[in-house]
Amino acid sequence: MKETEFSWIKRIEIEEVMPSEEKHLEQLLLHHGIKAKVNRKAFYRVAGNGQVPSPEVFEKIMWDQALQRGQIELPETHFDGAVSVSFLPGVTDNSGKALEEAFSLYGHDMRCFSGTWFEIKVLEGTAVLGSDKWTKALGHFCEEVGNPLIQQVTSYQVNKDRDLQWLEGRFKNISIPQVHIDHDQKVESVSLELSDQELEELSRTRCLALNLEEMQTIKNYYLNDSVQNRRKVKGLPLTPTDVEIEVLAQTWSEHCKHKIFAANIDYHNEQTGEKFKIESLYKSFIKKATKEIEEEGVDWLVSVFSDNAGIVRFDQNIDLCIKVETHNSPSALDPYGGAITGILGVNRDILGCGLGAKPIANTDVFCFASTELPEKIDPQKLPAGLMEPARLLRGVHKGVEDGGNKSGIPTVNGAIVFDTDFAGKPLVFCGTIGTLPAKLKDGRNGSDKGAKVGDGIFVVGGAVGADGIHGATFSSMELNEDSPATAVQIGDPLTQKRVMDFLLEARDHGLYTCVTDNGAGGISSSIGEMAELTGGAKIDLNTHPRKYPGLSPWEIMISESQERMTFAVDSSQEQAFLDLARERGVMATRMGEFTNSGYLEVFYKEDLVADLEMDFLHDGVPTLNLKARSVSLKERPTWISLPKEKKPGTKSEALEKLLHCENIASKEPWVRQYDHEVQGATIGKPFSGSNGIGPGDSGVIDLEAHGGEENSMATVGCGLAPRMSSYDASVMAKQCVDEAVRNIIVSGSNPDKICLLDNFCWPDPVLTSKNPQGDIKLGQLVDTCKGLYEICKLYKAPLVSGKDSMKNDFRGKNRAGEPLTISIQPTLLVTAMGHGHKSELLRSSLEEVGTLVYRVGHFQASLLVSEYRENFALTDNDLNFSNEVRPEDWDFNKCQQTYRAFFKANKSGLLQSAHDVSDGGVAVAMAEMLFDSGLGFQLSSIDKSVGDLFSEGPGMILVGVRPHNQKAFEVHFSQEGVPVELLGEANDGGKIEFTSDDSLSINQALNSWRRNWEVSL
Amino acid sequence: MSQVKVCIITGDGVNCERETKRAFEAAGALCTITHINDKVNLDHFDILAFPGGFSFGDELGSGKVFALKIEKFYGDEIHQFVKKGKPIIGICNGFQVLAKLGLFSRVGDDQIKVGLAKNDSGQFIDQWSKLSVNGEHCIWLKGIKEIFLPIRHGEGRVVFGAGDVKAQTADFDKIKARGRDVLRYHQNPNGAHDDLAGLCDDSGLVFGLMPHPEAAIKSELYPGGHVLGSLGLTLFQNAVNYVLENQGNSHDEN
Repeated sequence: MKETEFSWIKRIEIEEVMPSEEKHLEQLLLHHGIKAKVNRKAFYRVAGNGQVPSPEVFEKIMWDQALQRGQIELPETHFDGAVSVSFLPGVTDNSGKALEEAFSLYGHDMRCFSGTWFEIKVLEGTAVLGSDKWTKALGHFCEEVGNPLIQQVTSYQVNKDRDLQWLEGRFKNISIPQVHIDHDQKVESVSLELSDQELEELSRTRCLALNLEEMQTIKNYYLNDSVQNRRKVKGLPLTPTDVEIEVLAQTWSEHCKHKIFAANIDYHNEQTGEKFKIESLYKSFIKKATKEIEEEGVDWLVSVFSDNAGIVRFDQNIDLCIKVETHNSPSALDPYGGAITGILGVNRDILGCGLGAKPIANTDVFCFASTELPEKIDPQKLPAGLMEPARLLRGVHKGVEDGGNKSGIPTVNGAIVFDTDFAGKPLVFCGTIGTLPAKLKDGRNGSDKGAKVGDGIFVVGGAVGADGIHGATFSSMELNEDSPATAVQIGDPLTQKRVMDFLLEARDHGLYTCVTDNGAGGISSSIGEMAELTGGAKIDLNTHPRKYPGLSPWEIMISESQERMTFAVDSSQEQAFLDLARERGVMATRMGEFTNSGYLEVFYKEDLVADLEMDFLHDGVPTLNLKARSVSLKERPTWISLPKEKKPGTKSEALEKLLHCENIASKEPWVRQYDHEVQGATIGKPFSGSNGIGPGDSGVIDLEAHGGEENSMATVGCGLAPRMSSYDASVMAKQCVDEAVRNIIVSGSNPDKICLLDNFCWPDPVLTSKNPQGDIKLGQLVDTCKGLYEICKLYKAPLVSGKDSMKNDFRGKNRAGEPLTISIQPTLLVTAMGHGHKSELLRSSLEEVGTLVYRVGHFQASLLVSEYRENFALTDNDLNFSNEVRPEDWDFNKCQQTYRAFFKANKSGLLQSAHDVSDGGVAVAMAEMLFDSGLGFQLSSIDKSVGDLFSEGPGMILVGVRPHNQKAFEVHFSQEGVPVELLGEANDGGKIEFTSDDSLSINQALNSWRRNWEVSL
Repeated sequence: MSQVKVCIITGDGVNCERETKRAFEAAGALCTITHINDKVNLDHFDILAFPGGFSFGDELGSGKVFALKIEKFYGDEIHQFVKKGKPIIGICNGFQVLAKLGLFSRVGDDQIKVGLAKNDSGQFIDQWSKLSVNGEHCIWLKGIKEIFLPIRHGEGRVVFGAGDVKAQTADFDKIKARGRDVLRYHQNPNGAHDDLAGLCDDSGLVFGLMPHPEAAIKSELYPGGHVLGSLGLTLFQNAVNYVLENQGNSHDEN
C-alpha cells in the first residue's frame, strides 16, 4: 500500500487522567540537574479511505473515558519539551495491529501506527531551556526511551521555532511509516569463480558466516558433473542462485549445525601432559553420557537430541518436554526485542515438539555486567556503542516479562548473574517446559512426528518482512559496529498465543501429521528439516504472505519473522485445517508439499529458484579441525578489575554486605514482574513461606493440574558458575550440575528421575590470528565437556537437550577510542528437571520456634571462588581456613550419597524445610530460611570461622527438623553414612547471632537482601 | 436438581480459562470453555465467567478491545443475563473487561465513572495479598471474612471519577452506600482507591476482582502450603450454591 492510497490520516493522542509515576525518567532528568514532570501519552496515526469516522467512533474504540482523555485536535501546549518514539517502517507494531482489529470490528478498514509521546514540563529553573544542558538531557532521554535500530526517536524543544512549528502542526501534517524497498525482486546467481580471499569476502559481505573451507566446498560441489548436468536440465544457472547460497549458509551456520561441537579436536593438557584426539565433543561426551545412562537402566527417556526439545516420561499420563535457548546477540542490540523473541522462540520449540506440546512453565537466566559498572570505573573504559548494563537489564527483563505474561506461561525459575566480563555481551537464556499427552485421542503417540510424502506444507502465523533476516548467521559472528539491524525484531505475543491455542486445538482434532517451529533460518530451516522425514519438499515462495511488497525470494526464504509454525497436513484434512485457522483468527497458507525427490525444490511463481540436494544440504558441511590447549589459569584474566570493599570486621557485617551484593541480593522487584502462577499449577514459587517472602529453590509445577497422575509434580532448577571456569573448567561443569540438581532435590525431587540440559555460551574457541587465545578457550570447552560427562554419569542424570552459542566476544573500541576486546567467562548453564510427589514438597522457610537447623552433607567448600572473595579485599592468608576443601579436591560421590539419603529422610517425613547452600555459603542460606517468618537464630558453636560460614562448595543442604524428629533424623543419616551437623535452632529473638556480641537483626538482614534496585524503576 | 452450567469465555490472549474451569468443576459445576469467536447462546448457562489473561496483549488498555468484541458479538445479552438473576464473575483481565463493558458504572439510576488504571508503580506485580471481605451484598462472597489470594496484574488500580477529585469521592460514596465495595487489600499494592481489590454491581450478582481465586483452590497452591482465611474455592462454591438454591425459584416463576 502506498501513502497516496489513503484519503485521510489522523493523529490521536491519548493521556491517562490518573497517570502512574514516571520516577525513572524524572530521575534521569534530575541527573542532568533538571527538575521536571514527565507525562507519557500514547499516540496513534490512523489512515483510511473514504469518510473519516466521527469523533464518537474514535472515542468508543480508542479510549476509556473513566481512565483516559483522547485528543484528535491539537491541544494547548503545556510542556517545554517533547519526545516522540514510534516504530520504523516494517517493525512489528502490536498496538497498531490491535487498533486495526478494533476498528475492523466496527467495519472500518484502516492502517494504524502506534507511538509513545512524552511531554516534559520543567518545574524549576526554566532558564535551562535552550541551553546545551537541556539538549543533552533530552538526548539522554531519547536514548533511554527508544532504540534507533527499530524506532524513530525525536525530541522537540518548544522554545525552538522550527520545533514549535512542527509541534503545532503535528495533528495536520502527518506522515506514516511505509516500507520502501529499492532493490528488485529477481533471483540472481552468485558466481563462486573467485579467489580464496574473494570467497571469504563474499561470505562476509553477504553475512553468510561461512569459513573458507565451507565456501570452497560449495564452490566445488557446484563444479560436479552430475550437479551441472541436473542444473542444465532444470534450466538453472551453473553457479548457485542467491536463494541456494543463503539456504546453505543458514543450514550450515554454527547456530544450526553446531560445527564446533562436531569438530575434530587435537587436545593437549599442558598441566598433565595428556594428549588425545576427539571426534565431536557432542558425540564423545554429551550424547555418550546419555546413551550410557540409558543402557544402565534409565527407562524414562522418550526422545532426546532429535526433536526440538528433549522429551521424558516421569508420569504415565503426560510426557514432559524441555528446552533452553540463548538469545545473546539480538539482546545486545535491542534488549527488549531480543529477549521477547527469545522467550517466544523457545515457546515455539515446545509447541513444535512431538505433535505439539503445551508450554506450562518458563525459566530465564541472565548474565550481565554489574549495573554499578559505569559508576565504579572510568566510563571512558566502557565498550563503545553498547548499551549500559542497567539499560540492558531493564530491556531484557521487560521482554521476558511481556513474552511470558502475555502468553499465559508462568515464569517459575531463573537467575541473574553479574560479572564484569559480560560487559561485552550479555547472556540471555530462555527455557520452556511443555506437556505432551503420552497418547493423543486418535491413538498416536504425542511424541510422534509423521510427515508423509504428499502432505501439504502449511505455514501458520505471521507474514514475513525484512526484519529477522540473517539472525542465524549473525549470531554465529562476534558483535561489532556493523552488526545487521535486520537481525533485530519485536515479538507479537498475541499472535503467538492465538497460534498456540489453534495448534493445540488442531492437534486434538488430528488435523496435521507433523509440526515444527520457525526459528533461526525461517522456513529454510523448518521446511528443510521436516523434508528430511520424507526425503524432499517442493514449495512456492510466492504463496507466503508478506508484510509489504518488494521482498526478494531469498529474503522470504530465510526471514526469521516471528510467530510462525510449519505444519504437514494430510490432503484429506487440508480444508478442516484451514477452516479452523480462519475461525481462530490465525493466518494459514499452503506453500507446497513434501516429496521423496531427494531435493528441496523452491519455486517463485513458475520459476525454479533453488534446487538443493537434501544430502548435500544437511550433511555436506565439512568438519572443522581444531586445536585445544588446557593450561592452568587459576587466576582469571579480565579486561578490568573492580575496586573491592574493605574486609568486614565482623561476621554480621560480612553477612549484611553479602546479602546486599548484586549476585546474592533478592531479585524481588524483577521477579515479581513475572507472572509465576498463571495456569494455577505453580506449587513451588520464587517466593515461598506462609507470607510469600522467603526465597524458593526451584520452580515446582503440579502435574495433576495438567492431566498428570495424582500427586505428581515436576521440578526445575538451574546452576551456573562462570567464575569457576578459569579456575578449573571441569569442576565448573560439575558444580553447575550439582547446583541445579541440589536446587530440585531440596524441594523433594526423586534423585532417580532427573534430566539435565546443557547450554554452553563460550568466547570464540577457534584459534586464529585475530583470536590468539582460541585454543585455550577450546581447551576449557573440552575440559567442561569431560567434567559434564563424568558428573552426569555419577548422578545418573541424562542430558536430554542442549544448545551452544560460540562467539560471545566484543571486538571494538572503548569510549576513549582505544581498542578493546571483552570475552565472556566460559559459561555453562545447567537446567535440571525432576519429578516428585506433591505430598513430599519441601519449602525453604523455618516456621516455628524450636525447629532445629542442621547442615546435611560433607563439608567441602573453599573461599577461592566465592562471593566473599569477589566482594572484599583479602590477602591470601584470609582465604585459608582449617576445614577448607579446594575445588580440585571436591568429591561429588559424597554429594550424590547425600541426596539419596535426603530423599529417603524426606519420604519418612523427617524434614520440615530445606534450603541449598549456595552463593555466600552457610551464613547466607541460614538467613534466607528466616526471612519469611522473621524468626531468629543462634549459632550453637562459637568456633565457626569466616571460612566455615561463607565458603562455597557442592553437596550441602540446610534443613529444618522438628524437635520430635531429632532422634530419628540423626539415626537415619548416621545409617546412611552422611554427616549432619546441628547448627542451632530457630528462636523468637529476631536476630542472627554468631556470638553474643556479633549479631544482625532479621529486619536489617532482610532490608539488606531486598536491596533497592534503583535500576529496576 | 440439574448440574450448574458455567460458560467460560476465552480466546485472543485470555489465558486463565483452564484453571477457572478446574475451580468451577471442583465446586461441582459443568463447564464449557467457549472461544470468543464462537458465539454461544447464553440461555444455556447459569453462570458466566471472564477469566484472567492478556486479551489483545493489553493494547489500548487492558480489556478494551476484548470488551468491544464482546459488545459487538453479544450486545445486550450480557446485561440480560444479569437481569435473569444469573451470576457473572470477571477475574483480573475479566474484571477489566466487565468494567469496560460498563457493568459497574450503573448505581441505581445514576452513572458513575469507574475503571482500572495502571498500577501506580507502572509495573506488573505478582504477589500474594491478604484481603478483607465486606461481602453481604455479593453472592460470591457469602461467609468469607478474610482471604489470601495472589494478584498478578499491571493495570489493577481501581479509580473513580475520571480524574475529577469531587467526582471521585461522589462516585465512590455511591458504591459504598450500596455495599458494593466488597474486597480490600490489607496492604495496597497498586494505589487503588480505598484499597479496593474487587467490586460488585447493584444486584450483587456481578463480581469483578483483581486477585485470582482460581489460583487458590487447594492448600498446596498457597506459598507456605497452608490456607490462610477462606479457601479461594469458596467463591466458586458460593456461586454454584446460589444457582442451585435459586433454580427452584426460577422454575416457579416460569
